[in-house]
Amino acid sequence: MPTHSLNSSDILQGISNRDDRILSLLYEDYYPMVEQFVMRNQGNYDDAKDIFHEALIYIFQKVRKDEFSLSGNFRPYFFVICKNLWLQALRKKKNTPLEAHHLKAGELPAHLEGEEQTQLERYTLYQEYFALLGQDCRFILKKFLNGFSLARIAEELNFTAKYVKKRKYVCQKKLIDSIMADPRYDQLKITAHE
Amino acid sequence: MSEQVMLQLEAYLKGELGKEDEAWVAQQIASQESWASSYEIMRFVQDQGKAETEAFKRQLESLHTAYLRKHPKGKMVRLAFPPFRVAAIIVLLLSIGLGGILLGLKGHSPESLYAEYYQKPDFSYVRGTEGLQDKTQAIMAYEQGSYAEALPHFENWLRAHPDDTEMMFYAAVAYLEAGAYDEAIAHFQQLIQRKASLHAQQAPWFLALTHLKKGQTQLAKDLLQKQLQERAPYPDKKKIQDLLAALESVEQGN
Repeated sequence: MPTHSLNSSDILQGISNRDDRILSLLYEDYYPMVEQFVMRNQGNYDDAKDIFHEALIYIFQKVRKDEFSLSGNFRPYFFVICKNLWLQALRKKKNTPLEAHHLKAGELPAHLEGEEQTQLERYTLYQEYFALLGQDCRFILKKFLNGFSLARIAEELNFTAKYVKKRKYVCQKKLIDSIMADPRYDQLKITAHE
Repeated sequence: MSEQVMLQLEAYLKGELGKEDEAWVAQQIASQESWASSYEIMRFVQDQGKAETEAFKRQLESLHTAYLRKHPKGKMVRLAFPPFRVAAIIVLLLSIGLGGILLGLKGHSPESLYAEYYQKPDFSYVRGTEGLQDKTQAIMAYEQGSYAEALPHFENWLRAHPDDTEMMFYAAVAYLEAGAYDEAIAHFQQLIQRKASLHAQQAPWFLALTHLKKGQTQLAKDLLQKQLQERAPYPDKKKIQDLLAALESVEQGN
């Protein structure tokens, strides 16, 4: 069964439920085009896989937080997310101010609407700085957010719980401060009433 | 942002506040930009750490492997070839001969089969209990893909805990990832002797893939055939049979 026989809400539901059948269909129908797009734009197979997964994870997290509804077709929306993620990855890789029109779009559609675009850029900015945290910081934050107690994390790291608590605070603060210090953040920042 | 504010946001995110405090924090988020920004970033971090997101990532990796298995020629067919690449490829193909060309077009070689079937085992279910400096550092470095850094910690740990088959298994994988195939083989072989361990059941599959990576196809085949004699081989009979069939076709291609 091809994905075009499914409506957007079936697909979103499938992603949210981590439904293997829907995800496999998305792979069959969408992955080749994303791969082709990334390959045509200075990427390799690993980049294509990363972008495809990142786009699905982005949608998965949004759907799980009930922040996502889509009245139109899922397909163009998904491709635009992939395209934007790749554009941002390329900018970082090449350290140059690439714009969407520099890409060989192929069959991919044009752009996301305002707020959706901002949210996606925010997501990639946060992700960039999260990846830059030291491995101990990521370890502590991930363990903590996966429900491990501070005492348990401390035990694993052979530290005291008090130290881990302090470290967790320092790690979170470091992340928040570095994101806010990035010049891109001014354009993307959350306004209080958003 | 003070520690106090972060703790309040954290408690708010986890739904641990009473109604009054919850409303107060929500009010701060709605009215103060610094609260709103920090809240958003902390929510992002929470998503990154959530077990379900991690599980979703692993599921996507498996789907990718399944997709590549189903479309083994896809990578070759969809390449875009600018003229200079065509010229370079012609030179390369001439240098490796017609047998190599046919093998390449089939998309099957010990190396490509290894890439298709090998998936780095996840360390997420390792649980530590006591005095774990080396173990923790090995795990952290392994998770980061820093195998050269991980290996001395694995070895230190295994010297003190020679019966820890779980760490022995991941040490073997770390050697494999680091390209130290002989050490990986030695660790997997040692593990196979520990029949009572869960990882001893996984070891023959990874040992076969290590031989494949080294181009020792016959050794890989022997191991896979032996695995098929087991009642419940790892990862499963079908996958082993598929790999064996693909290896046969590589040999026929030769």
